[in-house]
Amino acid sequence: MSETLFDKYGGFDTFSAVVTNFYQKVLDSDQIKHYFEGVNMEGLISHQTNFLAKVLGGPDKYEGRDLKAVHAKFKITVEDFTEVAELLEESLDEAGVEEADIATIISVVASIKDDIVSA
Amino acid sequence: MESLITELLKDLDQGIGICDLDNLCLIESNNTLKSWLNILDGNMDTLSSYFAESNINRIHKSVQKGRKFRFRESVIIDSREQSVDYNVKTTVLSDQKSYLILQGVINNTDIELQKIVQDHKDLSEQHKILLNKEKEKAEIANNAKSMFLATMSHEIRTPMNGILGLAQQLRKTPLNDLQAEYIKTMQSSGNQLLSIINEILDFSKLESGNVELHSEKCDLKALLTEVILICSGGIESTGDLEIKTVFHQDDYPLVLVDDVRLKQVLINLINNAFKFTKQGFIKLGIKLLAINGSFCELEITASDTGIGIDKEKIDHLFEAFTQHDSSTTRRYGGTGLGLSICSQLVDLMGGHIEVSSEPGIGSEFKVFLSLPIIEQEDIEASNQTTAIESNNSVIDLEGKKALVVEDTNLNRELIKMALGDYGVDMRMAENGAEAVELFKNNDFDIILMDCLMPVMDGFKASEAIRQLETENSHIPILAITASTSDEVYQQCRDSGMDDVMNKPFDFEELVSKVSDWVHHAQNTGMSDS
Repeated sequence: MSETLFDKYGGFDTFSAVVTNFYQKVLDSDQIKHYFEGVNMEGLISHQTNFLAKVLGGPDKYEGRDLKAVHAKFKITVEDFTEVAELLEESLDEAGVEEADIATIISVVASIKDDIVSA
Repeated sequence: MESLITELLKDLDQGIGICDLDNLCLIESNNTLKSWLNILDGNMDTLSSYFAESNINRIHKSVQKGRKFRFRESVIIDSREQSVDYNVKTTVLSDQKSYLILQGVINNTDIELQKIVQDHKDLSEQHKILLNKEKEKAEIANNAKSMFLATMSHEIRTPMNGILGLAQQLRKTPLNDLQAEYIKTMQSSGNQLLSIINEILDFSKLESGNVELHSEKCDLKALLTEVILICSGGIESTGDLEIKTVFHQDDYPLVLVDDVRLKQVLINLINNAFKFTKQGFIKLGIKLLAINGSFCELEITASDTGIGIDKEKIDHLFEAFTQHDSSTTRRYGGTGLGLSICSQLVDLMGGHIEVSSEPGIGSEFKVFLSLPIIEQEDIEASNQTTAIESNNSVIDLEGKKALVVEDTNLNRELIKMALGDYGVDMRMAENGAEAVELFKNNDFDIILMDCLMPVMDGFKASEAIRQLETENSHIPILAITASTSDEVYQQCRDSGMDDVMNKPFDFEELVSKVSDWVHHAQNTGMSDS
């Protein structure tokens, strides 16, 4: 079996740092930070790390519900979705993830776009 | 007001600066930032002379996207390397122009984490040292306990040799029935005391993990038959009690197992059966369950129709010092260590014991073992190291010359009593040095050697005697010792002794062992006398 992306970049340690950095960027963004008002960010970071781990072939500890159902009430626009994707891309880049691997990960994110965007 | 704030900003603990948006040239900065970036002469440069290229690229990108960008760089502050968390963002100031604001704050988290890790490491090390000290103490205490038990065992065995030896000698004299009965009880009491000492020694060794198994080739059928013979004391089945071995197969593969220890386990189980069964049957059976490659799976069953065991007591059966109920101790005797020893020994052999029982009906103990099978070729190879064959048929020791080395007068007398009836010509030595002198000037057929003696002990004496022997001569040396530890047995072998006899000894056993060795030496030309 070939090495998963999760293992290639150092597993939970790396991706939990990536996700932490990513949410810092999200909160720094005037465009999208309003979505996260009153949200328990620590919980979200751990939740998102597990999601990323699962997607990248690491251990499956993700206990999320249906993506579409969860995101519908936020009425997320395409622009905001793109902003989030770009911030994730930046976070991965800053963590030293290679370009080709970033493209793979972003394509996974792009594939769930229809579940997230509802406005 | 405003001028005061400006003044304050200069010496703020955080670094602040303003840059040109296009070329990222630092226009203004407070003193803190200047000192971090090592700007001494007031000439400020573009950010690219202060920060890593990757960060500069990302700053450019964030300016383009209008995003805030955070990064971390290390800085030497007061000759100590620290990391600073920077962030940059564009902002429009009162002159209506856009600038890039650069802010930085020292990140102490890493240092604090390092300190926590270091503290933790120090504590761990302190605990480790304490733990090791306590462990050493416990080991010393445990060794002291083992030493104490070994010494006590030795000290008890020595006078027991006198008691049991003289009882044996007394039995040879004319006695009326009552006297004979008294002596028989005396002997069996003595033997019981010895087995209790052995159990306690074994248990203590098992507890401290000091029991090593010595696997030998073993014929299981013969072993089971021997166990029944030993436990029944040669008594055949009577009308009330049937005693038998049950072999489910005609033949069993030869296996590699510590036969002495396996025998000990089975003797314990069968002795228990005898203790608790007055009528019905006592059976010792063996079943070959399967052969897996070079291993065979075996089930050895000891069953009886005795008093049985209550269901709730079965779980505690293998715990040390427990017996069926406290009254059992009075009625049936024993230390309560037997089954605990059995279960630990079987564990060591990689097997396990199962029990089923019904009060009033009987008990069944099953020993499950997976033992390596020996191929025919292996047997020949291993045969070379096995001990001499026993030749119990006729004892002929008339005129044989034995050297008896023993510091205790009573023990010398006992050996004389045991061997004297067979016409053995004995010379006595009170220590190893005397023995070596006597050996030089006499031809002996065998030497009986005590181990612990003043002047020169039995080990040194045996070594000296082996040194004196010519290439083709080898006199049998039989150690007679009250120690039962593996170390002492090994020491006996290492010093050149051929076999070991335990004190107290059974007269017949001693005679037969002496006879075996004398004839073995004669037949193989071991001794040149």
